[in-house]
Amino acid sequence: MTTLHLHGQVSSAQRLLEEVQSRHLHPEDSYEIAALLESMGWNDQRANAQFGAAGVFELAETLWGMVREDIAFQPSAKDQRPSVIRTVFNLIQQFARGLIFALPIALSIVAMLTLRFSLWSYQNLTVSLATIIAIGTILSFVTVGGFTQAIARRGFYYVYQGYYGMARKVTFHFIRLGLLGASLVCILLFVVNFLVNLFPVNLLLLMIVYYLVLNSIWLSVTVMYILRKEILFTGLIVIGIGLIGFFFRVLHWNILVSQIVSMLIVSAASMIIVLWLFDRAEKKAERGIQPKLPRLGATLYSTLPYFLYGVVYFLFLFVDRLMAWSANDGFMPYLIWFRGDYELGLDFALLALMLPMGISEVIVTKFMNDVSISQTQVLSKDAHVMNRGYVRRYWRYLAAMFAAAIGNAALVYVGTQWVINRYLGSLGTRVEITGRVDFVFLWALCGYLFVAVALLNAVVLFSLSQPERVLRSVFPALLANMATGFLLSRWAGYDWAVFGLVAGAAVFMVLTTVQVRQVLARLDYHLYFLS
Amino acid sequence: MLAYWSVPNQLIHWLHYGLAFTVLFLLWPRVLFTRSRGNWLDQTIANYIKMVCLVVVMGYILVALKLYEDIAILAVLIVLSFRKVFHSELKKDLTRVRLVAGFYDLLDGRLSVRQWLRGSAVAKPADEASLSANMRERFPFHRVNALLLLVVAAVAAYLRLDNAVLHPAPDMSDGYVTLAWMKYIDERILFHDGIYPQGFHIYLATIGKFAFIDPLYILKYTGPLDTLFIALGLYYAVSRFTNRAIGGLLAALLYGVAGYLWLAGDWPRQAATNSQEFAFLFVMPTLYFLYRYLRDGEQTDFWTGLSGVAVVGLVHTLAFAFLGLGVVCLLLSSLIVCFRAWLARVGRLLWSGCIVIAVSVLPLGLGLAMGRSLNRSSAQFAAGSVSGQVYAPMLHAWDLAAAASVIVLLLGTAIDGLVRRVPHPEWLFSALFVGGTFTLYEFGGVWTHNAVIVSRAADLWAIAAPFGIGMAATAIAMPVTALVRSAWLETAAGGVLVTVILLSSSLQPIVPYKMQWDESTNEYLAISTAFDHQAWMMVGPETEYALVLGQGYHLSLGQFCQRYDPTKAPLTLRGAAKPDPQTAKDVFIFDSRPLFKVSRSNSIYPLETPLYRQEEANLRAFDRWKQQYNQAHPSHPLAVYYQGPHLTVYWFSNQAAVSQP
Repeated sequence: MTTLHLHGQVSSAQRLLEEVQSRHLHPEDSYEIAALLESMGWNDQRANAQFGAAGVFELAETLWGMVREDIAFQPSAKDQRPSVIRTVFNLIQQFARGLIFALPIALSIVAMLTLRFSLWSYQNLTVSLATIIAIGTILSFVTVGGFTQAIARRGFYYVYQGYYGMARKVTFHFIRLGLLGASLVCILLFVVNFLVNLFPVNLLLLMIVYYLVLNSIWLSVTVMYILRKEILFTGLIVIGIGLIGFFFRVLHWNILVSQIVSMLIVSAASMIIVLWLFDRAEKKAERGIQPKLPRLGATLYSTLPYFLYGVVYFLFLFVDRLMAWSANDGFMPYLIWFRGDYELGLDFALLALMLPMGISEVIVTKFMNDVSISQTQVLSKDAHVMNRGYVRRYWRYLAAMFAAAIGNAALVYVGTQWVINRYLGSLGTRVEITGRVDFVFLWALCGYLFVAVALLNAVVLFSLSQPERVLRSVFPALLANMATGFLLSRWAGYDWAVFGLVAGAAVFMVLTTVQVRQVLARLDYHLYFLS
Repeated sequence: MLAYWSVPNQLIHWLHYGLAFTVLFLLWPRVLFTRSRGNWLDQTIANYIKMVCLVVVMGYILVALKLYEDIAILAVLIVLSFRKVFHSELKKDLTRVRLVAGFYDLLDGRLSVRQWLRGSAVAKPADEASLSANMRERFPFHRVNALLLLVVAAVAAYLRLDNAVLHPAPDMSDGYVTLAWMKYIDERILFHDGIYPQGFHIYLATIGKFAFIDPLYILKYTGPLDTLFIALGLYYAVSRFTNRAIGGLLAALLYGVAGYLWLAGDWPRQAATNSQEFAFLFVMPTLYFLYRYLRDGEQTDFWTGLSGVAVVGLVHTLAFAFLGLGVVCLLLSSLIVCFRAWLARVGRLLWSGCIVIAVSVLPLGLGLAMGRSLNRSSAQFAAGSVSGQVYAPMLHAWDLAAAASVIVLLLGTAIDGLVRRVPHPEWLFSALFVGGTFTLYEFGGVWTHNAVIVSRAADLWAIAAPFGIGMAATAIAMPVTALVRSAWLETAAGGVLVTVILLSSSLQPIVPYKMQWDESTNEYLAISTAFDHQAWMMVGPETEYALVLGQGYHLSLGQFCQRYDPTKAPLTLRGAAKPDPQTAKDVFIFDSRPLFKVSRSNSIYPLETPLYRQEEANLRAFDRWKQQYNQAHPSHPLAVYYQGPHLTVYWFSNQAAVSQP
């Protein structure tokens, strides 16, 4: 702490600190504060005249001390709570943000039901082509999942601090790695296909094209997410679907060509937009210190748990499909054979994740804000009281989430039936909900309900920087999903693979709940560790 | 579509087969099993035996649970490998730590890729001298001996594989049964045609699971390789028992190149694919590993030996009995020569052997529990007795030489005991084993009249005889080389033996009898490759059912003519108005003329005669059907898909019928 006495000018210093922090919320050290002060027009004379400091650096040292001990200047934290209107507005904003994230998926499902095609799928494809495209899509999710998680973690970390330059660098670093990884996967696919005759070469090439294009789309989606431009991406999806409609329906191109060209356009446009967004953000941001990125090894090491989570999570989401599609029911030209009724049931059920994602965003934001406030208000001797309080609060939130997810699942089930039987029927579009589709739909709703709760837990754990605990939960969940799905799909019929999803999701939910409970029971320790 | 016998086609399929075999039986076991003693050859053989045991046991369980498929097999292997890796010293292996730390340094630009790889490859010999030492360790015998073995293996391979490469038709009537049973395993059906050990068919199906080629190639390649491996197994056993190459070389040469001296009429089985030969392949190496356990008391040898016993038990009953004879001889000779030192190990082998016998019998219990009865033809064959007078086989010079080896080996035992005073039960074991097999061969049929012993004892003798000659040759060579004190003498003798036997042997490739034209099999492969899986149907002789099973559908020509009306749109069932939507998309009629028949001298000719009469009647029925069809459809005569010297394939593309709602 500096030796400078502020001569009773604490409130002026506090205001100055707030002004500095408005330019950069979390300055690195006193030198950065000095640089910011100078950029704000402060010099040694002014620092001396106003605060009695020897110069800008001494004043910066004082402010840095205030930053580090800001608990001493936080008695008004309670007073900083936003108004009711502001709170409601924030809640709606957070809910919408969570909801919007799932909008592209919902859009795709709606497009499939009404137009019979979406950006990467088409209802009237032959089963061979549907198989190939489905595998390409799943592969893209799984292999790019790790990179998108890494981008979200590191990119968001820098964006949050206002370091857009660093965010851009690290983001594109991971995008390059992601594309390199995808290229290696393609080479591997060729080699494996040559050795094990999985698919005919023409189909394999098609799979690779879809895989690569979808990869670049997912990577750019993630960047838009960290830049909070989800609406923009949703718009691009709409444009993409529109382009397919134009090529396919108006120009009468082949549907596959239409989709590939459209996806290429969407992919290229997203990348260009992402570059432009970064450029704009960097220009807007304060030209302060531009620190170097940490060493690549350190960056990769620190993001490895998030990367692994991304891979395992997407594998978890899709592995029941792979189990269902690989079950031999007499006619299996390839090792994996697409089953439309299974996919349709899961697609309908996926809608049940939308609302909980919005609620999850609200809960986590509220929860973490409260934690942040408590961190500055609660005395260490009362830590155990705080911990207990948060555990109780967590149970309440969990119950609310569960109730909302159940209600939403029921709504989705009834709503989907209504839309298909009444609305689509009136439009002349025929979508048949067979007994098998209905069976998968119902049980997948149950599975996604558990996933929704598990995801809430996972986000809480991520917010408290506990990715290893999420990994320790999702990996057994994946194994439970695989084992249950495999056994039941072989013994009872391929549609029973959905119980793999249900079992895996239940394991994911229970284990993450236990993990969150453990963290909250020692929240003070974890917060200390975090700070 | 490449012809079966074309070089590119064979290269592609051998590559697939080789990779699957290498991964399954050579590479994966290195991760899975504890490293046993000895050089790379000992490791490879021990690993192969244990892996086959694992594959067969796992296969039985997975098929019984209806879970036999690539994913389940991979999952089991991965789980077992993880268990091994996480419980082994690998966890503490500094190489791995260096590898990971080096990876991060590489990312930070502190290391080049080359430096990283060099840094992590600490376990490998760094300089030329150590590399050379490593090579010497890997090849303990003289390089010329290795070259001689290579020549023997190459010639034995040529004799056996020529047929597999040039003739696509399955070999002998057994080939079709083996192929069908392998495919039933693939479809998770145990004991389809009654209870019979399914170990070999599980082995075949598992290679097929990872080779991703038509099962016919697996059938064609595996049998000849098995018998080649028997020859190499003889080399291994004799050279390890005696710690010298010459005897092993001679044994391998006699079985691999001149095996017809003992096998006579069964010599063609060397190029065919049968479970008996597959089980034989494990007999000699298993006996060696059991002997090594008795000698050294090593756990890895104990488990390898027991695995071998289990494999043979799960694959073939006669081979199991043969191995049983070997084990009894081994235990007896051990007790005679080293009673005190080896008694505890003999006891352990006895009770654990009982457990393995119980395991080998388990499939029988499983089959009975499933409500299946014993495979009728095998049961009849096993229990059958030969009526009339059974004569002892006439002994030829090589039989007498092998029988004489018993005397040499007994002498060796006596000399060892009296002069060297070193306990070496392997000589006595060899004498007892060869003598026992000779007795079974020469007198077993006469005494018992049992059909199996009468017809198959020669197959057992064909293994024991070269083994005995190899052991005896070494017993003779040892004192001679000790007197002359030249390692080259033995090698030179080996060279002379190889040259003489090769020059005096009939080096004609083995071609077992067939049940159909090669042309017909080749066309099956062409169709199977060109058309969607299970979207086509072959109409042809009954024999081809096993080929088509699992790939497409099969219908006999007679049934086809009865079922479909030639005067209506193709292919309309008799009495129906429209083409049958249930019929496969593409239908191929195999019109094979002249009808393929086995030679009249073949023992199965009388059994096949009624089938030939039926096929000829089917062909006549088809002629009438074709005539009626062409009259009813003058503008659309039957489309010819293929026409060759022995075969015409007609093609109905039934797309229209299939697309009808």
